[in-house]
Amino acid sequence: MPDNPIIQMIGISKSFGPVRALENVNFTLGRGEIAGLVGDNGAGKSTLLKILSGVLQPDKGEILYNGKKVVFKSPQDARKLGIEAIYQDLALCDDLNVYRNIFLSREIGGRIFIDKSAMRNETLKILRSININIPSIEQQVKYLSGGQRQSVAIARAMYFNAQIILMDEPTAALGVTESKEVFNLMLELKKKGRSIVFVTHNLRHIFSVVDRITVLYKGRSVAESLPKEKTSIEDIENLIAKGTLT
Amino acid sequence: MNAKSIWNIREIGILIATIVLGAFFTALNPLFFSLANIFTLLRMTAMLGLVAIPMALLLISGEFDLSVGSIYALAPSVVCVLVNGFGINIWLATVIALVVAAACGLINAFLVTKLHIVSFIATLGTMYIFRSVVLQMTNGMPQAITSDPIYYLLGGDVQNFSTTVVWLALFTTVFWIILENTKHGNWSMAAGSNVQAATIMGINVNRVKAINFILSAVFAGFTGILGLSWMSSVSPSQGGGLEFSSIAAAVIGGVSLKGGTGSIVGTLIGSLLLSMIQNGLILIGAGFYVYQGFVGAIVIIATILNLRIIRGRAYA
Repeated sequence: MPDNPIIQMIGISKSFGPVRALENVNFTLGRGEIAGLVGDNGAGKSTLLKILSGVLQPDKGEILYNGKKVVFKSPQDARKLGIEAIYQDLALCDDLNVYRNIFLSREIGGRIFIDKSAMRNETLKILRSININIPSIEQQVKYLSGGQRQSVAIARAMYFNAQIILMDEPTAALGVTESKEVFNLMLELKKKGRSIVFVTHNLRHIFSVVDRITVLYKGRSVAESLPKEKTSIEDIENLIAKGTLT
Repeated sequence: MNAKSIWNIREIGILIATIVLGAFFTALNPLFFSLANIFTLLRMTAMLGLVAIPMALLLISGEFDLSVGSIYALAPSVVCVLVNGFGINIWLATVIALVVAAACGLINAFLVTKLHIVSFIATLGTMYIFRSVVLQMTNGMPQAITSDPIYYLLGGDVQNFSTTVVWLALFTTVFWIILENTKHGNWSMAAGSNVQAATIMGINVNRVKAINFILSAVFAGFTGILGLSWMSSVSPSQGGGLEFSSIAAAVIGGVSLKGGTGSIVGTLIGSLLLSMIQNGLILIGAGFYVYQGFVGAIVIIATILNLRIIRGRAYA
């Protein structure tokens, strides 16, 4: 277990009708750590992430933030504590340009109007601060590459001072070079003291950036916060496929 | 302004098409460019644009409203029935008629956002229902009001210049500001572009769409009332086909039927283009019957051109 957990999810269960998506799952995220969350399709990774980001509510179990119990009824509740999610489908609006996406629902301006010029300036600043290179912030995001789109989603989380960033398959649609860019960005965020949950299918990706690994198998946690140095790709593969080490 | 910045104007394609078409009609019949005809064209554009522009905002947020033509007949009919049947003051009757139009929009919004009926189907249903209300209310007969000089100013002519053009200029500006510079505009684009993403980001998508349904209905009703003010009468069948011409004006102007993107100025030019076709074909002697075929062709061509221009610009 990490010494200084920022998030502890304890005994989380969630069902969708007759389907048990999660059963008594535990998950811990250390401060300033990158925690890998792995498992086969349908293992419950995305469901767990959605619970942590307030999109779904658990049937049972509790979430501790800095040791204190919290209840997230909506993504806004989670965001208030600095938890930002970057979903598999990116949660970007393809037709909106870069700065409109970054400030979506939290636009700079008054109650009615938006201040486009301030939004443009702030977007340029945040992209520069984390070394993201996007040709034009006026561009609709559908015309950006997968890596650039991912960067926009990360920049959005960063701008709103996310302390915990949840990344659901951020490299699933990316090539090798673009994936590397995202890993560099993750390490950069870690250096700045941010904590990251990294959900992926790709074990090589996990081992290149994470500090600890939690494995889900058919909705249960079969390995919790294993330090990366004390395990191997083969062990994790077995846990994913069979739920045990052998 | 250099060539590149002109190319970057989103509405450049439709603007060029409109100018070319105007030149074509003028070449065949110089009367097309006469002051009297320009005034006529402006009125036609205003009557279409005032319905098409709120429709554009609704389309951008990812929904249709096929009931606008019926509401365009319903609101002025309500005014006539209230004035003639109940002796209510015409201005109060007008306010009540606009509230009725807003209620029609609310019904559409309820069907789509709460009962989850696809808007194409929901508003197809209400299109028939609202039209039936008009026919029952008027017994299928045209209604008239006594001419009132001040009420006439609402949508009538001053020195042959239609006051509807002033309304069009005002509300084009208002809707342009809404779409480009307000949170509601941003959320409308987001709702039409990716409902899931907009919801996850905390936008109340149903509220955004409901506002746009209500705006669409109120402006359809308001435009119908402008017609009543001008003509002092209303036909229960008026506005038939307005749903499609207003959608066509928006699409020609660059609004995506999938939602998420579009232009208010483009929709204004789209309304002008459609009005020019309707007016120009008659002036050159081609007759009204070819109008629909022409509009169909223009919708298809404009959509292809818009897509090519947007893609070309994006990959440039």
